Amino acid sequence: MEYQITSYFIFLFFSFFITIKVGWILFKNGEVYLLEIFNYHKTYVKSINKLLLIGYYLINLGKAAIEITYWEEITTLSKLIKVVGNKLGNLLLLLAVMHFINVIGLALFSKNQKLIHH
Amino acid sequence: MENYHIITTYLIYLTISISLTLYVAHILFKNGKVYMLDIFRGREDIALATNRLFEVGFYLFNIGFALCLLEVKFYGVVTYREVIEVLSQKIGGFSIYLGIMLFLNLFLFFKGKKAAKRNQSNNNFGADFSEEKIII
Repeated sequence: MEYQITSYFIFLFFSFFITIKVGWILFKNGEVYLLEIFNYHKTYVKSINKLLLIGYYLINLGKAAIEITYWEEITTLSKLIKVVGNKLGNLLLLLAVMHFINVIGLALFSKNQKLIHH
Repeated sequence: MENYHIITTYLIYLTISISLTLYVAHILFKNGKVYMLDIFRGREDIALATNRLFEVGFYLFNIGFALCLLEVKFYGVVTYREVIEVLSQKIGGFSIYLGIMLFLNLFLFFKGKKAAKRNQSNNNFGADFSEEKIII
């Protein structure tokens, strides 16, 4: 019982921390791309960037919270480390895959946009 | 006693694999900046942003993989000998994986550089053309 609740807290803390930190980095660094795509309209880019950030937070934090439902029974400390590590690893891999899909999508989109302009 | 060995294994594996990932990513993207600047033809803001994005992706992917491979199974009585054997197998496997990822990333850098060169030569023709136009 004690281990179970401890594992929930550890998992939620790390997953929220990582998700929020990564989202913030993407928010900061993605602005350049969006500026290029939207022809340097500052107001558009700001609002779209903010909306994207909030969508990202909703999806990933929601996924992290739902993960608690499918949790194994934890009886020992070694099992706690194993389960929390596995779940965090899955979350990180999902974030990485989504991140790369996003970057590739942005790159393709900006390339298309450039082709239209030239 | 058995439990204690497993926890030691986990802690050693986690510290070594995560610090290895952080170190490799740090070195790779410190040196990758030059390539990025070359690819984006000296536009510093977009080059640095891309570099940072790739770095974050690298961290996420590799630390996630390391955490997914965490599980260790011991049978019977666990001794320090077994702990060392399992640890060396795991860490060796992870570092080989990391090396492959590193070469993949380098390959991407080279490919991007080549593409940038091709674009640049195309653009140079365009620039010459426009200059001629201005002169006329």
